Amino acid sequence: MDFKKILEETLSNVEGAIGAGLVGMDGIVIDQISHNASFDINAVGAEYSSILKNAMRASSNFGLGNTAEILITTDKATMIMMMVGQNYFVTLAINLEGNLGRGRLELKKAIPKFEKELT
Amino acid sequence: MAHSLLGSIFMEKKDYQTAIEEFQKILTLNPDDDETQTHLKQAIEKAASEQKPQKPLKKEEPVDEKKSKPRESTASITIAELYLKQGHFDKAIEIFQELLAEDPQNLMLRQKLSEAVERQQKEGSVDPSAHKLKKNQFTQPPDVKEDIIQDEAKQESKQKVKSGDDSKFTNEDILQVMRRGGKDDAMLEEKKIKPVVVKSEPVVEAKKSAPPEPPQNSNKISSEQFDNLKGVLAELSGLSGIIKCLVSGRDGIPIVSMGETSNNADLAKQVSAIFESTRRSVSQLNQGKLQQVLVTAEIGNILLVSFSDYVLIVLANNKINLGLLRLALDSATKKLDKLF
Repeated sequence: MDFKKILEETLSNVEGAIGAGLVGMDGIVIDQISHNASFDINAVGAEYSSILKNAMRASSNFGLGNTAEILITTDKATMIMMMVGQNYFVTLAINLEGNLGRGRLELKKAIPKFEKELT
Repeated sequence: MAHSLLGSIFMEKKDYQTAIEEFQKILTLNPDDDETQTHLKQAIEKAASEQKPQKPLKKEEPVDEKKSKPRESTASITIAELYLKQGHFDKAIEIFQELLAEDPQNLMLRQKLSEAVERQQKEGSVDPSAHKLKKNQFTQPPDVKEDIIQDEAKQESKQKVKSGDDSKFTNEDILQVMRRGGKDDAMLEEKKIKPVVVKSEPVVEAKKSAPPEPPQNSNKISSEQFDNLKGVLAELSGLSGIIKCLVSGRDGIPIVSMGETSNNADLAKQVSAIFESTRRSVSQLNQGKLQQVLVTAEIGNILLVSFSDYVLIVLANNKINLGLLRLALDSATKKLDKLF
């Protein structure tokens, strides 16, 4: 399973990308890659999996269906999380000068690859 | 005010439709204008009384004693249910529609209307000449429902132009006017002028029927700030695809909302919890100050933006242009930051 290769490919295609990781919904990181020491994907995975679960609950409660993506913007960076099947998510951090649209596109392209690897 | 004068002139000329439009223009600018609200009500009543069906009820119908009374007084749930029992679905639907026009958020009425239409579709109507409704006209959220109504209004107005007869109202016209005069206020005229449409009057959670005023749970907000807040939300909710937007405290208590109003308290509570947990996570991960959270789901999006001690919550459908939404939010956030 070459998760790192997919992550590297994604990261290299996105201008301003800091790091990326494939994480289980239990918060355990499956694989990750980082260009910035401050981006600790292990911590990110644990924290963001609970955010995703809350968002999934809220989306479901308000009749919006299954959560597909979460985008978190801070004054330092933007984090994109996209669901990979029901039990995993892929996350990508981009700095403020980065190309957010490209980031979303590359993640969407990566999802089927992850899904293929995971099945 | 020019619109007020025009409204009075049109009232005198018995052109109630135009008078209503003039009064609504005033109310869009100043929703708390009691005098104009009274004038609008009078205009709607007069328009409705002109439009009332003149034909007497059939002999076999059980509510003969009602026929000489105005429609407003007969519009009760009991009568509608009687009609339903006897299979006069169209009449029942009409009454439920009128009641819903006065109270668009009444879920019980929506449910009953839904049942009536379902029965009409299954069992057929006693009065085949009456118009039939599609179920989604009332089961959809108010903004979607409003689009349907507005589309119909456009079609009907086109027909009127073709026939050259704009002096008569259809029942649907009256219902639209009544709806527009109510909580879900959308002005077709405004849509012609600018692309953004104020879909509804702001709703104060603490007092839904009272005129908007700063609620008790927002002690820090002055009246001026509150009014400005409403303005920002009105502007934002004009963006196509927005279902509702509201501002809540960090504690999840909604302060002011715009658009579809059901489940505001639940939405604010759950979404504020998401925002707070995200804020804590971002802080623990040393990723700076949380500014925005966007949750994209199958059918819609939830967008949360932080300002001062409050959270701006936007619920949008999945057809919304996210780029435009973010742009509108940036603008709204700047205004809100200045306000607080």
